Order: sequence, then structure tokens, then C-alpha cells
Amino acid sequence: MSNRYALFLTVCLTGITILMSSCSQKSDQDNSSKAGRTVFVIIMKKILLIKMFRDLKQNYIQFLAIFVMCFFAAFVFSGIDSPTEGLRVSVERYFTETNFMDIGITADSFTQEDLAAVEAIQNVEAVSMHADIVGRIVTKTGEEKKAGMRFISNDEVSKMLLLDGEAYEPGMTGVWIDWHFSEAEHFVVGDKVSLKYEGAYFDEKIRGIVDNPDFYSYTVDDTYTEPRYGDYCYCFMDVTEYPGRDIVYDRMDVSLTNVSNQIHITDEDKRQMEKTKVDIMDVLSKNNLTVLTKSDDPGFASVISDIDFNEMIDEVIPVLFIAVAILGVVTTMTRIMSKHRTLIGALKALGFSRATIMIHYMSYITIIAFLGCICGSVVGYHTLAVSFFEDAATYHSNPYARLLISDAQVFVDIAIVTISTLTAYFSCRKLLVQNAADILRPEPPVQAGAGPMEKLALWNRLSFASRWNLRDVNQNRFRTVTGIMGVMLCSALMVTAFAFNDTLKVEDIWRYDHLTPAAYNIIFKYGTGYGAVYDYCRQYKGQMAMISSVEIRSKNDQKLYTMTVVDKGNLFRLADKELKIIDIPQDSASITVKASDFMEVGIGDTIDFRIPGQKKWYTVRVGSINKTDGAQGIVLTRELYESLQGQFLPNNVYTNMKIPDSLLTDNKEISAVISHEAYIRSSNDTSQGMDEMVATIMFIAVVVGVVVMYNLGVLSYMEKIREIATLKVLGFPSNHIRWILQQQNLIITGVGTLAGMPLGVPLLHLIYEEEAHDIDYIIVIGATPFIYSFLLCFVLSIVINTAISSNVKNIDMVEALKGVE
Amino acid sequence: MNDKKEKKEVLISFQNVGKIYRTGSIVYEALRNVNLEIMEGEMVVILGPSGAGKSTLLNMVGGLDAATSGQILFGGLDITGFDDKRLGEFRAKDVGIVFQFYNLVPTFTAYENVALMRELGIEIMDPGEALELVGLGERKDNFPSQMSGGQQQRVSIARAIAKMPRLLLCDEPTGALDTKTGQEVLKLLQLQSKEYGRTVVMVTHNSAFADIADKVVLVRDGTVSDIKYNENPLDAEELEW
Repeated sequence: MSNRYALFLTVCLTGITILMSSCSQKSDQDNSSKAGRTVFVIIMKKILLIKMFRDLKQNYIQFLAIFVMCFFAAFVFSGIDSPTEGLRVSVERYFTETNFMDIGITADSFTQEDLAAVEAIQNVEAVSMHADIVGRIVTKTGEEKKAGMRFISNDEVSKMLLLDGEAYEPGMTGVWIDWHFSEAEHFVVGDKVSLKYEGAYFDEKIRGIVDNPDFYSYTVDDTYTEPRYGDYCYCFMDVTEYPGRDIVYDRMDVSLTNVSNQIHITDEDKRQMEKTKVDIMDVLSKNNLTVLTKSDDPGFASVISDIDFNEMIDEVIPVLFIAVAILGVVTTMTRIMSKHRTLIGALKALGFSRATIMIHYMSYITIIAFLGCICGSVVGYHTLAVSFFEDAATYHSNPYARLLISDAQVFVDIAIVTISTLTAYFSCRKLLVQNAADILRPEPPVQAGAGPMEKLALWNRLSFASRWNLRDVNQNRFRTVTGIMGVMLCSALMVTAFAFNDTLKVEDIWRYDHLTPAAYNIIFKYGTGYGAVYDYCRQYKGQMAMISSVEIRSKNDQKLYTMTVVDKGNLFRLADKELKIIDIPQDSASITVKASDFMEVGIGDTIDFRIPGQKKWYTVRVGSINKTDGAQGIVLTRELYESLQGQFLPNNVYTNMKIPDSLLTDNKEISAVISHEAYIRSSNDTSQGMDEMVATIMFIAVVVGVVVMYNLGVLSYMEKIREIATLKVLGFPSNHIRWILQQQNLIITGVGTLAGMPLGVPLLHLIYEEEAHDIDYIIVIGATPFIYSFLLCFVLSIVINTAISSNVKNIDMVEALKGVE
Repeated sequence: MNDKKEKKEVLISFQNVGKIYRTGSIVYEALRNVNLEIMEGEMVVILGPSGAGKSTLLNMVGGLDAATSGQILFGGLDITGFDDKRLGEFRAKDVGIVFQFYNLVPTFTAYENVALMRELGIEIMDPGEALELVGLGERKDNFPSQMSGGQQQRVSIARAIAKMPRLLLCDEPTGALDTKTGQEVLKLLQLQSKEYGRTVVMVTHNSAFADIADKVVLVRDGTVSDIKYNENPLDAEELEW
């Protein structure tokens, strides 16, 4: 972090030095006595430095506003970019060092011959064959927790990342356990742990604390809908430790020689993986064979998706803040230059060079913007970034994960400072190009009037206050536009935050109340036969469904999705894009929105699909497009699937009957029984992380609104103080004047809010659309976010304006009018 | 000039009025023990050097500033006891003020500047007519930025007289104008006193203006040093400076 900022500091200082030296060269031409000039300039610069600090103090509201906008631009960027950069760098290192598999193969069982056959395929670099089982581990408190156990004979592909202890060598005894669990249960290298599997008990010494990329986003069984590292364990042992006589290998991780990139997978990498995948399917003929490339791996795909999302946010959000900051700089500098016009003229007349005066005024903004960026970056790094980082760490396991400041962060900070400085430069230049005598003359009056509006018949019917405000708005267009932009940003962010919150609530209930309105979902273990599932279905008057991975192929693309084949019943339903419940097509498939978008298929088109690992493709017509925030893919009726010669192997039963707790513990074929409440609870838990995002967006919205409105309110008040004093002298009551000021404020707030609120919708879609390529969030934006946003913006605006205009009551008419002279 | 008082009804009465300004530890006595009476329909010129306290005196008559001690009576009412609201009403109804730098609302046309007082529900003469009186009937749709200093000052006078106030206060009304324009402005102000019977109080440092006043109040070091009366004031047109 310090190196990056040393660079930032150096670049800024170098820039300022170059600017100053170039300006000084210009001033050389103006003065004949170099030595005399140098002494004069040094003394004067010291005076200007004192003046600068006094000006900063006197105009602290305006400078604070610039500081805050620069702060938030850097804050948001740092908050999002630091986890992104950390994620990108750490993930690359993590997947590279662990030699993450290029292809993963699963089946009921593999033999040594199968292993040899895969190893013999061209371009296969290495293969690791494992046996995975789920047993239990006894904690130090005697509690039993679920443990995913992997038995290995080598550790070449998707290797363990050793964090403590000894590295694995084939034939070694002992266990290597995951670092989340060891931290949660206070296990250390050398401890003895008891493991259980189907009545077999075995004690093992902990040889190492490890991580493994195959478990990057891992749930031990179907009772967990999201990863909960530390709640359960995953561990590694040599195959010789396998609890049973006949070891059942069910997974192979394959590394390829011709796939060179771990993270940035090229089309060529993808092509090579697909080619080898076909070769593997050719040499292996297995029951329930599944062959997936790493692009299809859920953990790997989700991290790539996260990086893409964050990079998008990096590009969009800070631009909004920078735009408002720049408008603030222009408005403030224009006002300061106007206010200091006579002083600038006097300085020029006294012999200060144009460059000296310009550097003096530019330095205000440079210093403020620089401080804003530094503070924003540091605070964003330590707060927002940490929050995002911790959320991500809940779902992904990567010991290398950390926050990093990227080159882009330094670039953005430099850009903000540079743009602010240049903005100040052009504001100053406009005045300083004139000669001293011209500057000393009063500023030419601005042409009054409201422009073409005054020609309208309506104009003459407008009240005194409306005319005054409209003309003032017209005369101070830039200030008005800045105000509107600030309110727009504020209201857009508020709509996004409120709608985000509503959407989270809707999502909690939509899928489980409308699409699968079942009290319970019984999930069966892999390999459970049709008869057993059917018996449970009859017993609990449920509806069977077969949910499995599926490869879908269209004319345009091919990708791994989820296939749901549903039996008769009404506990699994579909909704269209407008969220209206629709029938499941009888003679065609229904495809989810995201899948249809990616595959570029619509109603009436045909698609091919197959179970991963099977060679046979099924062809089906797309009969409807459905929207779900669950797994993306296709839905077919059992009748249709069987008519295509597919074998209906249900693994889920939905029911509304009460399921006893004993069902899960007493029946080996049942993997999980999840109640409606448990789904909602899990969804709520997931939403909690999102709540922080809602709170962050809301906080930023309010701060932006307050800062912009307060800054411009004060500027506007200060500019009108003479007119306000005049009105008071003429006998206008303070409240009357305050109401006039409030009206302009309400107009700007109204325009800004109305223009900004609709922008909240695409902003929300942007966040959701990009957050996960394969999740189709149910975004429901009702009237509430708009009403709340509208009201909140107006409340903020009225409160701020009331605070500013409260000064009207105490205005010193004599002093205010003296100021004019 | 004669040191002779005319017997008219008293409009304004200063009774032992003092004004002290405090800025931190600095105390500045702007007025002390001022006793003064201004009659109905009188044209009064308050003369004095810079810093003498003449503007402070004027501001207190107009209710722009409060006295630290003493009483100021306007038509028999003690305005020093008025709160902000009553002072506002007093300024709106009874006092017209003309400033050196005009203080027009720049976003309003000449007509709208004069019509301003209607916003407060105060009955005023037709703004067009008021502008005609000051010779600006043709410029009523011009904004202040489109007018010369003299024209702006005339709009300021039109605004002040449109509500037909009992008292017209003028603070260096010709200070920013050339001689010819200044003369026109003085003529207008004198007319208010002579033709319409309004009390006109004008603050100036230009002693030449004393010749057009009924009463000349000399202010020095925060107190009234002398009061003089003109039996036959000059017409503003005859004035030279």
C-alpha cells in the first residue's frame, strides 16, 4: 500500500513541480532583474501561502464539499477495487500453485485401468484419482460434525495448499484438515482427531492444515444451501487409510499440458479442454459419468464472475462521483475567482506574475483533491473494502485472499487530482488572461432574465418568487446543473438502495412461496433408485423431480446448466418474465431467461442437451422461457423426457406434509430434508451480507446529497445576500424571504430527484445482472423505493435549506449592504 | 442660512440616542447622546465627514439598526421597542430608502423592482406611473444591468416613492453618480418634499447639498454638532458642486 501511495505522491509532486517550473519560465520573461524577482517571489509566495490557508478557512464549506466528493470517488473505488485486485491476484496465485484441475471427472467408480486410460490421452499432463466420502469428525468438545473425506494416492492435480505441518507424500499416515475447521475448532498440527464413517471409527494424527481448490466453494451435503466454512470439515488422507476393504474411487482431476492459463482462459484453452473432454468420454464408459471443464466448475465460475462484476463496478460508480466532484470544483472556483476579482487585480498590479497567482489558486484545489483522494482511498481500503472482502470470504476459501491496492487505484486518484487541478486552471485562466486594469474593474453584470421562458404567456402569471427563482436559475446555470446532478446521484443511489432492499425481501419469498410452494424438500442421495423415491413420494403425497447437471447446446454455444424433470403435481411451478405463473409445456422444454440469453435461443428454437458424461444428445423444442432466481437451465415434464428415451431418476420430492425429524437420521438414502422455513432462513442469512451493501449505498447517497445541497445552498445564499438584505430593508419578513429561497431549492430538488430516480433502476439491474452471470435475480421495483427516495431527498433538501436560510433572520442589513460598496 | 426653527408637526424624534458597536474586545461608540427632531414634510440633509455617524443615524431612523440607548419616536411611536416583525412592517409601509449603490434586485426589471412591494400586500401607486414620475417610463422592462447608474438610482427612487411613504431616507444618493445625473436625482428628491409633502432625510458628505435642505444637521464624532435652517432653500437645478 505504501509503495503505491509513494508513487502517487511522487507523481503529484512531480506534476506540480513541472507545472510551477513551466509557469516560472513564463514569468522570467516578464522580469528583467532575476535576483530581485526571486526575492520578491519568495516573500510573496509566503504571503500567498498564508492567504491560502485563510481562504481555505473562510470558504471551508465549498472546499469541504470538494474534499468530500473526491473522498467518496476514491472511497468507493478503493472499497471495490481493493478486494477485486486482491481477489484477482490471490486467485491467480492460488489456482496456479495448487495446479487446479482443467477437467474434473466423476462417476460411480473408477479403476486403475480407467486412470491409465485417461493418463494416456494426448495432452494429459497428470491425473489425480480420489475417493470422496462424507463421514463425521469429533471436535475437542466431543461434538460430531460432518466431514468430507478425500482419500488420495497422489497430490499432483488440485493439490493441497499446505498452511502448516508436513506436506503429503503417498503412503503417509495421518490426516490433513481444512484450515477453516482447524481455526473454528482449535485443532493444530499434531493433535489427534477421531473420524467416523458408517460405523467405522479411526483416530488420526493431524499432519497438516491445508486448503484445496476443489473445495473453493464447498458444502458438505445438500442440507447446506450456501458454504458455511468451519461448520463442517474437509480433510485428506492417503488411500491406505480408507475405511473399508474395497476403495471406491469416484473422482479424477486432470491437468492438461496445453491449457496454459489458470484464470484468464482463452478460447484456445477452452477448445483444448473441450477436445480432451470428448477424448475422456470416448475412453471411459461409466455409469453416471460426468466430465466437466474448469469453466463449468461452480467455485471457479463464481470467482471469475465476481472479478468481472467488481471490475464493472470499478468502471461505473466512481465516474458518477468524479463527475459531481468536477462540477463542484468548477462552481466553487468560479465563485472564488469572482469573489477575489479585485484582489487578483491588485496582486497583478503589485507585480505578481500570472503564473504565481494561478499556482496559488490551483494549489487550493490540488491540495484539497489530493487530501480527499488519499483519505478516501485509505478509509475505503480499511472499511468498505474490508466489508466486501469479509462477505466474499464467507463463500470462497482462499488463504491467499487479501486486499490489494492496484495500479488502477493510483491512476484514478491521480486522475481525480489532475482533473480537479485542470478544472481550477481553466477557471483561473479565464480571469488571469486579462490585464490588471481590466481585472480591477467591476465584473460586467450578468445579463438578467429567464430567456425564452419570459416570452410565454404563462410568465406574466407567475408569482414574484417564481420569477426571481427562475431568473436566478437561468443566470446561475452551472450552479443549478451541479445541484441537479448532485440530487440526481443522491436520488438514484437511494432508489437503488431501497429497491435492492425490497428485492432481497422479495427473493426470500418468491422462489419458496411461488415457484416451489412446498413445506418440505426431501433430497435423496446420489444413486437412490426410482422405487425408493417413489415410495417416499407416495407416503408424503409429494411431487417427484429429477434435478441434474445438463450440457445444453444451441447453434451458438454450449454450456453446463441444470435440468429439472418434473413429475405431475403442483409443487414445482414456473413463472414467465413478468412473474406470472405459467404451465410447464407438455411437448417442449421451458428454458430459463439467463440460459436463453446466453444460448441465444427463443421460443420455437430447438436445443440439444445431454447429461454430462453421456454421449447421447437429446433434441427438444423450446416451448417457453421462465424466470427463476434458482438454477438456470431447462425444465421438462417427465412424460416428455421419457418420450425422448431419457431415464427419469428422481432425486427430489416436494411435499406439503409434515416430515418428522427422524426421517433424515433413519434413512440412509436421504441426503437432506429442508423445510420451507430453513430455505427462508438460509436466504435471510445470505441477505445479511447484502444489507451492508444497502446500508453503504444509502450512506453514500445521503452524504452526497447533504454535501452537494449544503455547498450549493451556501454558495447561493452568499451570492444572494445583497438581494436578501435589500428585501429585508424594504420590509419583507424573514419567513417570506426564506420561503422564496426554499422554492428554488425545491425546484432543483424536484428536477434532480425526478431525473435521478429512474437512473436507480438501471443501476440496480447493473449490479444484479453483473453480480452473477448464472443467477437471474427477481428484481421487483414497486413504487415504494421511488416514494421513499423522493421523500427522503425532499426532507434532506428542506432541512438543509431551512438550516441555511435560518441566517436570513439574523442578517445584518447594514453590513450586508456595506459589503456591496 | 438662519438659525430659526419652523413650527411643524414632529415626525421623528431622537431622545438621547446612543449607539455602541462591539467587535470582540473593541468597543466603538458611533453615536452618543443624540437629540434631534425632524418635522413632517421637511427636507433634511445630514452632513458630516466620513465616520461621523451620519449613516448610523439614518439606519436607526429607518429601523435598519437598533439604538443601544435612548428612544427614537416616529409619529409618536417608540420604534426602538419594535420587534423584527414590526420593524419590517414599519419599513414596508412608512419608509422609503434610497441607497448610494441603488440596491435593486438584479433579476427584476425596473417595473418589477417598483412592483415588489405589492408582494407584501401593500397598496402602491401604479409602478408604471412611478417610473414615469422619475422619467423612466420607457425603460420599465429593462433590467438594472441594462441601465446607467443614474437610471438605476431613479428606479430606486421610484421604488421608494411608489408606496407613498411618510419618510424618504437617502444615503449618499448621488455618491456614485456624475454631477448632472446627481442633480436630476436631487431634483426628484426635493420634489418629494415640496410637492408631495414627504419628509426627506438625506445623508451626504457633500456640504453643497445643504443649500437645498430645509434643515441641515451637522454630525461630528457621533453627535449632532449643529442644526441649521434654510428659509429659502435652493432648487436642486440651481445647485453646483
